[in-house]
Amino acid sequence: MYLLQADSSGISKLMFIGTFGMLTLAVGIIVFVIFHQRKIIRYQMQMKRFEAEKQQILLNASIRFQEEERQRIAADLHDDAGPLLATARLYLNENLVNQEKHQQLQSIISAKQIIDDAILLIRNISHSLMPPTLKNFGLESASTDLFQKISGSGVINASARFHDYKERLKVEQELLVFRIIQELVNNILKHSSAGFIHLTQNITGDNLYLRIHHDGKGITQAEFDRLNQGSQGLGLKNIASRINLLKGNIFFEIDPSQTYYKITIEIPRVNKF
Amino acid sequence: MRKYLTLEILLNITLISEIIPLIFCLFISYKIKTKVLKVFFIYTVFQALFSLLCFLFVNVSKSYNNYIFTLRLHLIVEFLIISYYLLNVIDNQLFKKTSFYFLIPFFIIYNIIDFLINGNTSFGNIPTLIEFIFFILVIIYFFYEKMKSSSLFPIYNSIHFWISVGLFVYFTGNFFYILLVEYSTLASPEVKNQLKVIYSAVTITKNLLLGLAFLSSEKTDQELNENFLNNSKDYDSDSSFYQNNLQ
Repeated sequence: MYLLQADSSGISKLMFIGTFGMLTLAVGIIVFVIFHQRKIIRYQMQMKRFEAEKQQILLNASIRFQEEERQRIAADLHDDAGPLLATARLYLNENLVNQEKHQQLQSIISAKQIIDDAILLIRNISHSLMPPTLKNFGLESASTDLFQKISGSGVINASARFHDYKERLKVEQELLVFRIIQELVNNILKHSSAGFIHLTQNITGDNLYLRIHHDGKGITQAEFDRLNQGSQGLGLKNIASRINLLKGNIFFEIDPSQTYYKITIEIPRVNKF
Repeated sequence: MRKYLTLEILLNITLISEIIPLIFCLFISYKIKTKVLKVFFIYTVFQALFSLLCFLFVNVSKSYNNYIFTLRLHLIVEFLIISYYLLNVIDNQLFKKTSFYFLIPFFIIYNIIDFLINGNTSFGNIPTLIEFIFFILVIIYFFYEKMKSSSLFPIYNSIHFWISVGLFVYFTGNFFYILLVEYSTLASPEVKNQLKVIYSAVTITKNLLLGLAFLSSEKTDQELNENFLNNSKDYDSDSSFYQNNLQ
């Protein structure tokens, strides 16, 4: 109606204001879209960098752990197996044939004893690398065995209960999970002064859950993240890197009553590994 | 008289500027690989042909009826091509289907009815306004989608973005021109001239933007990710080392 009544100057004004308004709006929208997207890209790049740095820390930790493990094995072999075999060799030297019969027998028995010790030592090293119970009977037996041994020491009350572990994980997954449990239990024994450790397992949906409860001094998720970012806490970094390999999650919590700590490990059962 | 001549020249430049996107498309044709860009190329060819026809009908044969018929045809074809193009660059399926099954048939039917009623004697501005509003909304939605997306690729390096910007400037800038074009008969010659100047400026800007769009260096998300991972090469190679050691 206004348009019909408007004179030429009115139409001109309306047209200019309208066009100018529309173009300003259009340019405003375009500039806003560009700047907003740039902000999002910067944020995403930063997140990616953080993630890459985190992965780098975890990777360094796992490599360092492997190196330490190799050094330990090398030291065991060099310091224990080496001298044992050298001693056995001494008993079985060339002079053995020139010795008296009973001396020969004594030397052979001693050498046999030393070789048996060396065999036992090598077996222990081998078992520490890949526990035979884990390989042959699975995570449930290996964990139960570990907790029974801890409980058997009489220092701490330890128990493990698997509620629903009919279908085994892959061997390499089981090894990773077992190493995580070992590391966590080790930490609890070393640092927490706990009176009990209790491990439970159950399955919900596509995920396998392992929960460790203890009544000692534990850590929360924030502390875990902090230690994980820092240069210390190699064991925790190993846990994080193993969890990463399993494509799982780990949560450190404290009970609302502040009486015990809970560690939850979540592992996807579907084959993402 | 001199002012009138200048305006005529400006309008002819506007018509000729419709060839700019086609020239860029032909020179940078190696970038036209996707179906959507091929459709855009068809649009540039169509725009160039349309301009030529308009120029002939207005300046040479001075056939008003043919000119009106060409405008009607142009409106429908332009609507179909740009709809196809824009609906293919946005991701939302619901938006696409709604537009495809309801708005596009409605627009075509409306134009046919308008043609049957008015013939070639007059050409109302309502179909064009519907077209403009529809495209403004689609382009705003396209920008909204781009803002939400988690792509690492800057939007201003995208051909589609600059094409959309060109079209957006054209549709928003000419909206009031189309809205008031029917009242221009009431207006003084000076206002009519102002209308034409605005139309020319916006159309030339659109054509420049559509042409320059092809100068943007488009990269895929995959290429960007590869660049990013190359910067953290150590991490990548070592993680596979650890993974292999477990197997």
